[in-house]
Amino acid sequence: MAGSRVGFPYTSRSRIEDSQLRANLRSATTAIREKRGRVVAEKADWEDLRLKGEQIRREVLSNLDSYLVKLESSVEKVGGVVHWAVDASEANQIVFSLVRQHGESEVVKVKSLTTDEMGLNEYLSQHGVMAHETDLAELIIQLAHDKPSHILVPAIHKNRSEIRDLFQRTISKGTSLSDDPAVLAEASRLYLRQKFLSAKIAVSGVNFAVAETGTICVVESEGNGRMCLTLPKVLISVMGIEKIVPTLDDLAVFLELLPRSSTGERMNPYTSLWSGVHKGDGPEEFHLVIMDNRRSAVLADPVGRQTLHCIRCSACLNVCPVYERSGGHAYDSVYPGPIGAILSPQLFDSESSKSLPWASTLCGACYEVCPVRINIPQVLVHLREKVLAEGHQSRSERFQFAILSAVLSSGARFDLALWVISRLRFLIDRFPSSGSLPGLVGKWTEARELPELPKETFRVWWRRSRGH
Amino acid sequence: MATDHISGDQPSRTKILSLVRSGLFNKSMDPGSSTAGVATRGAPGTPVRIDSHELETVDLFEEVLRDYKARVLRVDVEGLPDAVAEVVSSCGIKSLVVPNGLDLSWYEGVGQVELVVDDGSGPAVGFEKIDGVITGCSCAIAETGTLVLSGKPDEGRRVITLLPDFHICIVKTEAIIRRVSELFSRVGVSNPVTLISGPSATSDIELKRVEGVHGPRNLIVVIVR
Ligand code: SF4
Repeated sequence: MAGSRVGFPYTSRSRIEDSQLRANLRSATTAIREKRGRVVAEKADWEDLRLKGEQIRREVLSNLDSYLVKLESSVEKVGGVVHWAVDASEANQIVFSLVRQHGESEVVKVKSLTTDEMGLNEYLSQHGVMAHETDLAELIIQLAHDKPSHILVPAIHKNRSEIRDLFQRTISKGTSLSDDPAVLAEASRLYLRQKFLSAKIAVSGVNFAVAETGTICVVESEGNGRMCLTLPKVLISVMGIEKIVPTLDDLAVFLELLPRSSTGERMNPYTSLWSGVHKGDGPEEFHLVIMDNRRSAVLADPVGRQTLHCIRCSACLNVCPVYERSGGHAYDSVYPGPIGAILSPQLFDSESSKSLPWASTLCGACYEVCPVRINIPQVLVHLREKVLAEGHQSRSERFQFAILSAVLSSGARFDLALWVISRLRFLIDRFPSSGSLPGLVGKWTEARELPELPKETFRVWWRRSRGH
Repeated sequence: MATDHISGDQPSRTKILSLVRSGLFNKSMDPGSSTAGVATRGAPGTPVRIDSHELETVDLFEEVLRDYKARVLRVDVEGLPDAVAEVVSSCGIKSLVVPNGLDLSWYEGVGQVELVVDDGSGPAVGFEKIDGVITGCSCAIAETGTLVLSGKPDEGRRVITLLPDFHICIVKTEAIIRRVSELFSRVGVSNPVTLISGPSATSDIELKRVEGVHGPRNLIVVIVR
């Protein structure tokens, strides 16, 4: 990587040293992993479902233009209004102008990664509109002015007493609370209920949009989604262009795949489906904002395209040995973990996101659990090549790899190199094993201990003991 | 490709569609995976009907529901009014809302409670002050312990099952299907559809499951033979 000190190797360091964070992460990811394993094992045809899920996503992406047009016309037929946004800033403007048209200065929000990607809350607040997050974890994050660290349990890095202190300072001013999660959940229930009953406008994301019928699907656990989708007069839902499924029966496949992969439940407590505006039931106005924000460029990359299969279940985070140790903040992106490592560098231009394809051991655990069979290791390697080809490699690194390739491509040179190193052993042995080497290899030893050099190399030992 | 239409005056629409189309130009280079070609999508919706005795499905439904901490009762039609009355009194429910299409005989035994029969026409206000709601359901899914509401006359509009703290849902055994893939052969989407699997819950604080955040905190399912 380039010499600048941004990117995963730097952002992850302090997190890895935080043993409390690591303990929290380990217990959380272990617990969800086990739950997932149990409910997935119940489904005899799980692998078939994954294949179907993959096929459906592939079909949608391969004909995305016609599915988008079809979705638009279906949504309009049932009374919804469709807006198109090339990028995040256009999507923000659309949402804001809808809010302003209704003369409102507050909206309630259902947890949505897409609106996080847009930076919608910040945009609205700069323009005088307060967006209230209503998912418990998102509320915690918002009140603490913090950033989410997990797709599914964004406040996974906070423990109960931190949350108690936060709530006492903010939403339940003056009342003292215990740190029992049930008590804390109750405090948020009381605070948010008033918001739900008074809000005129809600903003949500979209889990799936059914092209055939114009039906939008949002899955959730707490009921805050149902509140937002039912009570306000105006509903604005924002989706990336890839969130389409062709038919209701296709949707059913994902309703089997998603909850088991995500929370490790057979089904999440609440799933809401609506098609445009339903007279006498729910919002009187429905707006669907369809946002590209560089997804079309991802589509154009034949290897990268599968990244858009993602249904944001977060199963890949929970099995990732890197995520388990670094946590979500180290990725410095709305999308952490293995999916973040492949999605962020394709969507965002930042220098830090270009380091993410290396934030992996390529162990392949993510591919194994992914409900839509995204070959994450394949995309990681592809993106590494891409980033390097764009010139994001320091001169010294290029030099090192040139030497390495010269040494490794010839048996004689390899032998020679080993001989030289073994002669230099006395030098290396003087180094404390935890110290870092100077010069070119210094970066490597910054984060790794130098292995002890054996007395003789394998090749020497082989020749000696097998005698040739 | 379908032709562009009505909202074609949005320049961003044209731009996105053309970006997508040029992205798809690479279609032939789609990396192969275990499945050949893209258009071979099987029939993902083909209901997988596991041939099982009816009772087996009902038992499964009950077991999964209990796992969600829902209260489950099984009665025959004659026993239904008494069962409903018992639930209402044992939960301490003082006020009830029912959709106007709900069979009167199902709840005639509830006795001294304040009763609102909602015909869906008035403004959706005041339901937060009501303790409980009784509804039927369009279907139920055994494998996932899911109740499916789709705005039928005995289910009512969404708000009445959202704000009260107790939801009593009456499920006829013939309405129970085995798995999610059968759902849309039973239920259409001309009304809003809500899938409810256990009471509202959160695991946001230290992954500890707390039953009941915003939706009804108590779910009581009465299965009727
Ligand atoms: S990449 Fe796969 S496993 Fe990871 S969040 Fe997306 S769908 Fe889930």
